[in-house]
Amino acid sequence: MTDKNSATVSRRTFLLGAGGVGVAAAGLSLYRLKTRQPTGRVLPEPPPKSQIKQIAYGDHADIYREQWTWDKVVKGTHTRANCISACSWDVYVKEGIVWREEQDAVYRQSRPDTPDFNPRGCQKGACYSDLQASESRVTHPLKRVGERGEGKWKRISWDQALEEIADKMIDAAIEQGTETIIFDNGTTNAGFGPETAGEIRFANAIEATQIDSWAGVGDLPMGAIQTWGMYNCEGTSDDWFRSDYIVIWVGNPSITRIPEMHFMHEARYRGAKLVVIAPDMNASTLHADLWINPKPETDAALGLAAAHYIIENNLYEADYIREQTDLPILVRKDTDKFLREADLARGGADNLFYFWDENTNKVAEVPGCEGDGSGGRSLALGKINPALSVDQTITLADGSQVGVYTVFDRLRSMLDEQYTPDKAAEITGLSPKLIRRFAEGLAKAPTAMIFASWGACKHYHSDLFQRAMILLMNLTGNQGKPGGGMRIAAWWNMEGLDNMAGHGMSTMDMLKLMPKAIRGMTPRDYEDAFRIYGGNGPNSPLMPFLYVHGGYKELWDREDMQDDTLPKGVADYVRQSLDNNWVSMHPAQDRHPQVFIFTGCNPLRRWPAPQYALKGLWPKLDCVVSVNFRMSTSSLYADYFLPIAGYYEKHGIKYGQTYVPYICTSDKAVEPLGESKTDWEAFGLISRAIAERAKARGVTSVRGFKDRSLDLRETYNKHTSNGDYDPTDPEDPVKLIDTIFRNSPNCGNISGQEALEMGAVPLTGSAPPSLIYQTSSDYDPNDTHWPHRWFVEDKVAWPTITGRQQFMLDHPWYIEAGEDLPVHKDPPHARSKYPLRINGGHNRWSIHAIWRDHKLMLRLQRGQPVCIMNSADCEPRGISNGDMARIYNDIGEFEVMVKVAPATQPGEVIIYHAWESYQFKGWKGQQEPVAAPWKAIHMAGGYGQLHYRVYYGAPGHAPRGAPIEVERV
Amino acid sequence: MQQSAQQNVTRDSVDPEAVDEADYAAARSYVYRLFALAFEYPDDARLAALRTGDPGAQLRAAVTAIMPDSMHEIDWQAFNLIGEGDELQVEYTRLFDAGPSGPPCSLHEGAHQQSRMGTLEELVRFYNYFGLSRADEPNDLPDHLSTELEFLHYLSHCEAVLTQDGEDFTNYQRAQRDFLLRHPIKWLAKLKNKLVQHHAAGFYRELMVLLNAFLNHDIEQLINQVGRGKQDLGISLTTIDELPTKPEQENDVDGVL
Repeated sequence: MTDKNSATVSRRTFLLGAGGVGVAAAGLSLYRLKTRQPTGRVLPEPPPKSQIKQIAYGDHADIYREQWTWDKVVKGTHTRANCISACSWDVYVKEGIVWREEQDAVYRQSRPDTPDFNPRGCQKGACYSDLQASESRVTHPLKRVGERGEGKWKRISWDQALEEIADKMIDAAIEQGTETIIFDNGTTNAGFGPETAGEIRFANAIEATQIDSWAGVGDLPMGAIQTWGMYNCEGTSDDWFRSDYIVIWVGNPSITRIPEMHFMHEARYRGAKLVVIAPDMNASTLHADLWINPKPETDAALGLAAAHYIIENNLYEADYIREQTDLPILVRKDTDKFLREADLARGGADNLFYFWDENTNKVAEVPGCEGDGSGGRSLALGKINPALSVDQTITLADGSQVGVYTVFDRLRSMLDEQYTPDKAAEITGLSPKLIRRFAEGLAKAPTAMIFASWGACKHYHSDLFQRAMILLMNLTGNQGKPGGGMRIAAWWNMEGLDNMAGHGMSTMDMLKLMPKAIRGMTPRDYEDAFRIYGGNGPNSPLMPFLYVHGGYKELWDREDMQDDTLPKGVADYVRQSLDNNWVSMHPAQDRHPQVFIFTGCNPLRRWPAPQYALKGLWPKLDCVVSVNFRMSTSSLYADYFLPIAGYYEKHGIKYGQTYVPYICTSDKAVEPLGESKTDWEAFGLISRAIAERAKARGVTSVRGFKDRSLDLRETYNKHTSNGDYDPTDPEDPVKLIDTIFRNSPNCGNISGQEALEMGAVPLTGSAPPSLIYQTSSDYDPNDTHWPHRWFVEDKVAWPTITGRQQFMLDHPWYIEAGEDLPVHKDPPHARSKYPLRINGGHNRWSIHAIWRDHKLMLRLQRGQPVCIMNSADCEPRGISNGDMARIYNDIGEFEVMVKVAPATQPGEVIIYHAWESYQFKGWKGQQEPVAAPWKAIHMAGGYGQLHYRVYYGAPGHAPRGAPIEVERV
Repeated sequence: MQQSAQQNVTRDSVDPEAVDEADYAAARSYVYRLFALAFEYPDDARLAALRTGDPGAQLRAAVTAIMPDSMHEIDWQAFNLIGEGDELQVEYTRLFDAGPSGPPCSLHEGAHQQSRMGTLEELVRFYNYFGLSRADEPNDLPDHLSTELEFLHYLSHCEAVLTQDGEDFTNYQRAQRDFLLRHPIKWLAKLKNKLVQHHAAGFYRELMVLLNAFLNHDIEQLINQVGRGKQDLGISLTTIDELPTKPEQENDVDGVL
């Protein structure tokens, strides 16, 4: 309590003690605030003597009397969230802050008889404004001052950060070459515009090793590559509406495809059946007409049993498989390999194959195969009528005779022997009757599709699952039909995207392709081009990179990590593959990574057993740089943190998945918070700093890609296309967007500014295939879009060695693995001593780790990491709902809360995706016990579609099914 | 008290008591400015200034002048514990800048409230109402502690000037009262506890103790002068509970004028 006297005393004391500061001397000094017109009511009378306005204020209700208005509303989206949906939003801005966003509803109907896309967007997108303002943002450049991971940082200026980082990179370049500078942006954690172009230009300019994480995140459908020679297969999501039998298989689209899922539900209203194949009762299962719950990782057996039923009951589409598949191709009975021209004639080709033509009763060359003499362009049969079943004898070049049959014969024989519904029931735990019901429903539906998401790539034997699924879609003639076929995902292309990297192919490479271009490029020709393009820089697929450089050899060479169905261990396959140059490795094995710069990704959250990377890779690194808008698990172990603008703080183009036939753009709604900068500017500044420091240090030439001489002083010139761009110019991103759109006829050649104002730019046509865009169908704005029409309708050959969808792979590694035909195999962890298996998937409340720790999203869940277990596993372990449990094996451990739910099969421990490690006790995250041994035969090459190039054909991260034990803590 | 001061003021003469009131408001404004600066990042220039001991001495002198009775609780020596080299910068970054899911002791009010955006909205409304807006630099969100303190610095400065000029200053006093109760006072006790919990360096821990004491003193004075207002905050700060129960004042602005 202070009475008037004491207050007066204190005031005088202040005057004395402070040396008579007084009103004038105390003054006004504003730093964080600036003056403007008040919104409060300024009282006019009597006129004040002072400059201070008299503003009427009774109580706080007064500040709410003024109607809230927006300074502007711009179109925005989430360009680097790595969310596969593309949704345009109205973003509401006031006072330089984004306050809210609202779904845009601008999408038109594809056909009069299909529902439209409106509106698009989920709860994550609807609260990004909150995340952008959240405390996980870092808004100043930071430098580590304690131990890595200790959490001790200090702010430094951008200039200091850039100079020090540039010097570390130059040091690495001088010592071992620029390939020892490792750049990683995850995979699809990228945009189609300046938000990603900067880092690509930077990495290209210094010829840094770029980690190819497509397979490394477990998103590469190797089964599709093996079968099709390509993997991106999806159309618009409204095409799902046209299906009569939708099978969700290893996926959970109710929570992972939120803007798209309604089309499946709406299809049910017109009579479609929705079948969900999943071990657990998940969110998508709730909507199913039929739930099939096999034991985990027995999916291939289920698929093959269904194939058996379809063949046995003559429910297959014979004409379709004659034309579109390798099933009628002849196979030597003595070797079980394809009959090749090399078998029939000395010096013959080993990529020319044969049918048995029922019209002529003779062998006939397979049109469209790689060695058909015309470049393998068309699979059209012409007058050939291939026999599906053959029993003939052929005279070989050496005069010997050999019996031949077809792939179809081999397949049928194997199915009869191993995959009858009764036998598959023993593997899958399903009833034979249920398997038959499923097979019959699938085969008799006018149109059927399998939705298999990226989750279908994250098991050790995912390729076998996928080959079985695609086999079903072929037997039923669904692949390439509207509302039909195997669906994974696909991207739109824009021709103007070439401008992102700043350069395309070399003139020499272009000349090599010229003859093919003149007669019209086929998917096979494009794949050749992509191999040339992908080979022009140091790309290393993640899993082999971690094996060679990342400290994982010790783990993955363990006996229990080996696949006992293979004659060799991982080490032998890796050595052989690298020796044959089937898979590239940068830097070479005799060097070590020296600088690691990552953006948009979170390797220590995602990589298997990340403690191995911290132990084996991190000590090799002189410098670790995180470029991010938020503090991630991986950033905590960085040496430098460069703060990046939030999604609404920069211009961008959202990568375009084909679900919706629009390219979404994001206008810059507000300035980047604090000292954060756009990705475009940040990477431009790094390139500039390298050039300037190289000049200052007199560094003229270092070893670049393949040890070729590289002048780092030219880094910035290369980055900016010799000055065409100036990343420090705030309008520069718009200039790049403009270039991209103006050079993209399939988006109407509009200006960048128009595109930014539209938010969602409708496609008007198709673009040629790209490294990632391969839907192989022409886009028609007046129809839904579905993949593979070129092959099925136009008879273009598939880019496989046989020119067809190929179910037999007679590569020596596949033969020795017993996987030359699609089969079911148990994964290596099936023999583990640990009784339980971790499974999971992407979740409803985050996009990977982004939003994972966001308060608004956590309120919708248990608010902390949780696993789901069946009571049959919990009771013997004394675990009750809500208990904390230790999940462990001899590799690692973590603690997590247990949710007991019968929705999970006994034996399974489901942990949804992407909790940050720091959300667990001791920062031990859910990946700690996940060794994720990978399939070594995926290092195979030298065989048609089995090869590596960037974003294609590499062994994948297979975290599912990690063996563990659980105990209550 | 405020009413009596106002009644004694004419437009042509200045009552000595009013001058005193003005000085008092100016002193408070000065203290808010010092606090706002103290919670800025201690960059090299600020660090050098802190090492001279002058800012700490100024703060001590100013606060002691305003609330001499409470100063025995303060460990003034803590303001000289700047540490070696960049220790204070590292400590600031650890506490306030970055960490998993955000820094452990965020200086942003929204981190301590249920609704970040709701908090920001009200702050922007307050600032805009009184003719202020977020500055382009340092382009921080408007719920940073230093911004809130700077706003109080502004309001009390306006109060001081109006008082000196014999104008009505009660609008600004009511605004300070409401702003204090609805914002800094509502969350700074939580921050104070977090600083203890996270073993903050003495400089920041003691700075927060001092700030809390000052705010409690200031709100007490303001309520003495303009009443509690129409607050229904549902907060349970000890200080607020102990506030004098002066009858509600008439807040009809037009009526006062």
